[in-house]
Amino acid sequence: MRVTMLILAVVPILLLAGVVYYITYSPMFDGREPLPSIVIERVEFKLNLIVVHIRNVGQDAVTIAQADIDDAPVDAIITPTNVLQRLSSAQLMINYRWVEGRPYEIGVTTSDGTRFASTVEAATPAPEPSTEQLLYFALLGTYVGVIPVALGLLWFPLMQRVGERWNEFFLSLTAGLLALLAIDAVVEAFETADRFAVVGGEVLIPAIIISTFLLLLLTMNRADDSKSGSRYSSIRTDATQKTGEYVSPTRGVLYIAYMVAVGIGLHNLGEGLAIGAALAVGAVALSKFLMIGFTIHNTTEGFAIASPMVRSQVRITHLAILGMIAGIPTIIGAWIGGFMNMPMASVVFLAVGAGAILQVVYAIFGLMRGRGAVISSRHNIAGVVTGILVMYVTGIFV
Amino acid sequence: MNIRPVAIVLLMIAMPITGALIVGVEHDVGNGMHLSSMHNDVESSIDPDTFLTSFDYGRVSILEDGTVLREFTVTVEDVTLEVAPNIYFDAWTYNGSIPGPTLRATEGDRVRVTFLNNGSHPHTIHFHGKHPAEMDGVFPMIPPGGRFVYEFTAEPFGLHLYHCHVDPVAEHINRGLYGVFIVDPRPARESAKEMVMVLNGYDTDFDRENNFYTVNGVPFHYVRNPIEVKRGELVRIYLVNMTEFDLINNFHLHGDLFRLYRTGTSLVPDEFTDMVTLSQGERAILEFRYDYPGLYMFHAHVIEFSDKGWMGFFKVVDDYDDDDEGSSSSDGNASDDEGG
Repeated sequence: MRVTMLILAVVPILLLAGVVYYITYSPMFDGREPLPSIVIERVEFKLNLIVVHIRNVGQDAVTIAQADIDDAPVDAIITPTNVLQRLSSAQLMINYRWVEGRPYEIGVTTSDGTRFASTVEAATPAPEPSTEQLLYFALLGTYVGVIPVALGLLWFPLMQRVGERWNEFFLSLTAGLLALLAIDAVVEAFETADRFAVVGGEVLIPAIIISTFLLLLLTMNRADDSKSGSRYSSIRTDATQKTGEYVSPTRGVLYIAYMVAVGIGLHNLGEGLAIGAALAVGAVALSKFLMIGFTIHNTTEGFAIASPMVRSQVRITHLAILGMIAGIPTIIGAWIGGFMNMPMASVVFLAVGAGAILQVVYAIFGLMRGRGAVISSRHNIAGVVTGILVMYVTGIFV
Repeated sequence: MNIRPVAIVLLMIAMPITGALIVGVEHDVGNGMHLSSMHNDVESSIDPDTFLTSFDYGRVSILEDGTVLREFTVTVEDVTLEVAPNIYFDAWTYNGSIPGPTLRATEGDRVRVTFLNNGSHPHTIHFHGKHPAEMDGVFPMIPPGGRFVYEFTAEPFGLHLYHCHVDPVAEHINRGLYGVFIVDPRPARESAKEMVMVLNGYDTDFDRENNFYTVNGVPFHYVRNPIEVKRGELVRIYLVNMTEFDLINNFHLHGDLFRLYRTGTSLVPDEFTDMVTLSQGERAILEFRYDYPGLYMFHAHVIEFSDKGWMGFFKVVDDYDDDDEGSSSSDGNASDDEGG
């Protein structure tokens, strides 16, 4: 019986292998060579030197025949080799007296004569991983990531002092904030995937989001089931008491708070990567205006971490840790983005962040229902809408 | 606080970072390879050195009325040519190379060109010059495997050209179907060191913009291999512009000026200059002597073109090296070696 089942399982796979083999070797499908596809992932401007990072995102190996700057062929040293296997990358070093602030078009031509080009809007000296630069990026991350999150957390005492309705309002506001933040992360992930032609990005992003969401859901259920039977049991008990003060089990809400912090942290990691990479390649001048935008925008994130915990006794150390989990990844992201070449990582982080944030939104509604709140009540709807609006308005600056 | 959320948090942070590190690992910068259109050689069947001084005078016989008959064979072949270092272009050629052979006759000669189309598309040969309409190489398109004989009297004397005239003409020219047709005056011009220079471009990605510009088929060839000329020796260049897509091309000589004979149809120079601008299909004969030895550049004064390969050097010497066969060879033509 086992053997029969095994055969039944394996036969289709064997047949599939046969079909693949036939397609591969049948002369019927010959002569349709896939078009080459090269993406220029990163251009670094150093002293009289331009370093170009390229990746073969096509179906077949390609040979790089020539490099050009502004359409004029230039000599280049290509490492490790000028033959790029599928998905492999190479680095071109071009001696060139470039001029700061000027746009440059960098092109590479493959052996079939096809040219691929990428424009750098303004040549900017690439940050060298020096202590000074590391410090600068850390400071940048602190201003746009850590400080605003901490500021947002400062609303915690206020939130603890308001009534039940206001609490619900703040929670639904948080859900609104996070929902838009998730959308923001998704959009950014797609944009990054598109810009760097990350292979299979269109499928990869939703796949990561859905898996992250489901995995978190599973771990959350597991964690609760093993301890207290039902996820929000402790909260529900408290809610029925309507005392407004939670005595012992704050683990449920803490869990949500940590999830919020991790989700936001991942989002900020992606954001930091984007900022670092943009600075490194001179794609944007990070203006004061933009920094102010990020700072205001990210203050809402601190608020979102704080709101699930308002009815619980939470030690100040937890708040500090939560703030750091959410904020510090911005610094790490800026470092990675500034000094390394990894658009794929950026996409993955953003997608994981989006999945985590969506799971948190789901959990927040669960928490509210557990407390006996009616999601569709006027103040809760108003909260969600306000959250979306706040996120939208502060997002305009970014 | 329970240990589990912490573990999950750590796991969630660790996983993407691990993944990112795997994906984003930088290659070690080893020795690398050198990419250069200017300095790297092309191992191609295009041989600009031989082409420069090769003239195909045809198989000569005398007709009953005393007229000289010159018989040529021109065959279309599809070949993949390395037109720049490591860049392979699916070319359509006359006799296997770009440009096609330089056909040469004297005014009044009978010219008979047997045309064989071994390519995969219909082609023709359209000659510039005087001839009957049926010899114009436009209407009877010669299908793959087909044969046609173009026959006419070589007139007027001058510097002419030939190319395929099948639609889309720009495509057929870009693919390489063109060559030079010289009709010498009678009596002949003053003896000189003669050379043919065909200005062309290659649109290798078919976006109707040239990716490379060359003299005689290979970008920067005469930068790597300067053309030797003797001090005081008369140099005559048959300069033909076959560049497609760009409306003009030009030629600028360093350190000297030349007598310019537009289309070569007069023995009286039109101009004494160091610059000539030619539109598509235009040509001119240039004559000059160098007074001083050394390296002199010649190039398109459209800098985009010179950047992309249309550039070269004359090396003016007091005396030729005797061993240098290339500089004085004038028999056979570049593409006969390839024949098949």
